[in-house]
Amino acid sequence: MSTTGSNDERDLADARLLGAGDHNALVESYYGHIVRRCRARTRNEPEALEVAAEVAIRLLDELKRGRTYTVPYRVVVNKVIDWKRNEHYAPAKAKEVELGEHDAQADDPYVEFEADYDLAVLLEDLPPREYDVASLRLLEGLEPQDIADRLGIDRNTVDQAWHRAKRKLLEKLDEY
Amino acid sequence: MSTESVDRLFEEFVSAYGQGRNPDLRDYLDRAGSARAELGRMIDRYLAIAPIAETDDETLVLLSARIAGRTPIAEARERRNLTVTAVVERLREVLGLATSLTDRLQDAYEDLERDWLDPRGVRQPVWAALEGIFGFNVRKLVTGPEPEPLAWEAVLLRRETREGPASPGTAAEPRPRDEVDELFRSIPE
Repeated sequence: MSTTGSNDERDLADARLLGAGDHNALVESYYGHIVRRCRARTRNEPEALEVAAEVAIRLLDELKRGRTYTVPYRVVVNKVIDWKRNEHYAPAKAKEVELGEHDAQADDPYVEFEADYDLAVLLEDLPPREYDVASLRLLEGLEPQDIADRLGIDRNTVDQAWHRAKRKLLEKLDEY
Repeated sequence: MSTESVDRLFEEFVSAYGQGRNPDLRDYLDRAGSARAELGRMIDRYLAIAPIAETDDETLVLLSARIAGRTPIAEARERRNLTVTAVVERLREVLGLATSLTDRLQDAYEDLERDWLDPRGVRQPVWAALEGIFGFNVRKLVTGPEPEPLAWEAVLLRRETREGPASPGTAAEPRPRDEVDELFRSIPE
């Protein structure tokens, strides 16, 4: 497994697969992410796999029906995960975008959610020090001491900045 | 579990994930104990915005199997374009079994593939051989955190063998255990 440090490369690769119509490869490349997020919020493994399968089937159905997106595909994947999990636990409350035939003139229903899954957008409100520390921690998984070395600041400053940034980010994510 | 500990587990996960070490989320959630839901929520929020990691082979097979309505091992075999016969032959060679045991081995492998065998009773050399054939950890696919059936219940699922069903009204002759039994139907430790 590898993470690239940002989703830019991912978005480009997704766009290539979408352009080539290789829908199975595209959705399969997200299986790890789908299963991981489903495991995080379901009670046990069978439930996680059940919801994950529903997510994958919905994603494939949309592509098969010719839906196109103006947002990065990962935004679509993340939103469908959220919907399907909500639907699983509270079917009456779940409000999904209806899966109808694609209308090329219609607005992309996923656009309004784009910022919800964009780390760069979330980070941009942070003060510079917290931004630097949180970026290195979240994008590259650097340990606090490595961040201190990279930025040339002391470890205590990193810990404080990360603590503040994490609290703000988690609060912000709670709003979604 | 204290908030501090949940926070520590979250930090551990962020480090491992960010460094591309493919951390198994299930381990972290198990370690969180009563704070499982809280940790899951934190990690999920992080995953929703973090760079998307690549999908490993085991997860690809696990979810594909679920969607296709197959068992994970059957899905793995399909994805490798292998027949049961080919897998059994390679298993026999790697495990060093006599050709006379091929049919018995095929019964055992098919039981395993159909999820009729308790994986706890399958010996390590079999898992190692399967990993060599499929190219990833097959044991990980079939030994989830859920409670598993008792070994001897699972063994009893196969009522007929290649020698045919037991004749009605006659007591079946107990067959002596052989190397295949030892490899596939050992008593779980």
